[in-house]
Amino acid sequence: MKSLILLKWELASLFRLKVILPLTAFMFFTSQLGAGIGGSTSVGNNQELLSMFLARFLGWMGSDSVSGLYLALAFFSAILVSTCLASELESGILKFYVSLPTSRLKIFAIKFLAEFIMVFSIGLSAIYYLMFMKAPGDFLGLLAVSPFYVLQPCISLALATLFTFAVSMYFSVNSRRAWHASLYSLITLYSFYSVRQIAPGAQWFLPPYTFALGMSEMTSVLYTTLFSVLLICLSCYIFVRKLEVS
Amino acid sequence: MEGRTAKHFKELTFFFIFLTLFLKPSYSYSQPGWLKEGDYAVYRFKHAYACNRSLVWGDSGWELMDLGEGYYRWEILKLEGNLATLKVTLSTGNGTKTVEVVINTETMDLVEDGKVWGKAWLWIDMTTLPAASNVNTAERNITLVASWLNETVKNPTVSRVHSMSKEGNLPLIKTGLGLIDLVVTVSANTNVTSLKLGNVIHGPVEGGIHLFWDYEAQCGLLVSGLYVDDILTQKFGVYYFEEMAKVGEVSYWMYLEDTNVDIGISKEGTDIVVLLKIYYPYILLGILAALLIITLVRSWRRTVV
Repeated sequence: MKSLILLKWELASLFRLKVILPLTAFMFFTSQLGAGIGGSTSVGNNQELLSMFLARFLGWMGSDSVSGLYLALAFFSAILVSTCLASELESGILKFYVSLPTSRLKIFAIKFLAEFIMVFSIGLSAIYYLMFMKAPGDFLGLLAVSPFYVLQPCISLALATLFTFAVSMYFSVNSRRAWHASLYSLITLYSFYSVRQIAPGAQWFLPPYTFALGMSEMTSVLYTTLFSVLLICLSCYIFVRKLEVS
Repeated sequence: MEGRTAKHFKELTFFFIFLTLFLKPSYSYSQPGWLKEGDYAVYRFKHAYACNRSLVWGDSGWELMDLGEGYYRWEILKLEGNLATLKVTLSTGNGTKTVEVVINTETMDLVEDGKVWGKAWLWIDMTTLPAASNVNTAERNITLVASWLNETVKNPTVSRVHSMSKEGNLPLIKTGLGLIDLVVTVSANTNVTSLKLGNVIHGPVEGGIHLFWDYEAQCGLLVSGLYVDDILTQKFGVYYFEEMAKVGEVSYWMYLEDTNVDIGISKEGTDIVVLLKIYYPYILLGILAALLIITLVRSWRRTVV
């Protein structure tokens, strides 16, 4: 019950027009910036095969739009996470949180969860809006035929959000000031985006495109996920054990 | 009065501009501008195969024998008009052989006593031969090799200038001088389907063995590929080479080892931009790892003190 109240506080401080409006706008804009899927396949008149193919195409398109959405994800995770951890540490609000009769681990988890819920839900709505607009009449039918392909973008977006959050969490926990944290995480996350222009051969092995499931290397998805989980564990350890809140 | 003179001046200047346009020296033939006496290029190959003519094996197959590894080199001895005298050397395990041939630098015809006896596309004219940039390939009505295993290789497709890494997601072309990204690819199909190389049977290749080779985009010099020409086939009797490409590379029989033609890369200075492009992901990951570690170390030191 106590943690639910904490979550409610956290969400109440996040769900404000100042945050929601730019978040939604940038999510919807950047979801159009996918790498683009080419190629064509002829499936003849087989209706079932055609709908399977359409579902797969739709799923790929959704996963692919995550690579564009990554820009908004990077920006907002860098800003939001550093405001919720480093900035609150600076202004003294975190001291109030820590003085409550709950463990620090719970506070960390709730802060993470609240931000994750917000960014993830808005990103998901942006992706599914894009997918729905590609096939407005058939979308529900396709979802019924092959839910795996149509729900695939959820996994890609969850992994992408996890990665950006891990990097921002790490820097927020380790930096002295909030703007240090957001700057470091912005540099780190955006520099991955430049790989596509300079070394196009390597782009499928590095973050924004590893999340385009079905096109990227499965091992690189695994490594990236492992890396983000490790980074979150490390920042959780630092927050719980090492951080001096004064 | 002044206005009128100004008008006359204007007319006069226009007249002179048109005059200079028409008097611009026009060449009756178009050979590459970089071509001069003393230019040379050396190509390295692994195994050259000569034809053992007495043993024709199968219907469309040929039996070839190994000559060993070596190099193929040409040098311009004399350049008169559009005729160049080339000193061509082929060095294999069986020894070194040198011939002098006369080549038409415009049409790449090999000429002897006023007769054309073959073709050698050692370079291409970058102003005329590549396809237009809005199409990927264009079929050209030219002969590539006049005689290769009893057939004429002609009507090749010539690509536009394309980037190996950006458009094809392929590794850059390796030469003895450095790496090359922008190339023009010439390719043609043949009717030869199977070969016997020593004891190994190669093929049958469906649709015939596909010959293709790449020219770099600055001068149009041959850099790499499955290359044969009539000097090799008719003067040296070499028809085939062993594949040199490793896994993941575009296949090639020979590559440019050295040249004094200025193709933008040289042995002395490697292009730093190309190096950065190749190692960019590693450099990036290194910098980011350093950033992660530095922030961690700083925060730990702060909490301890």
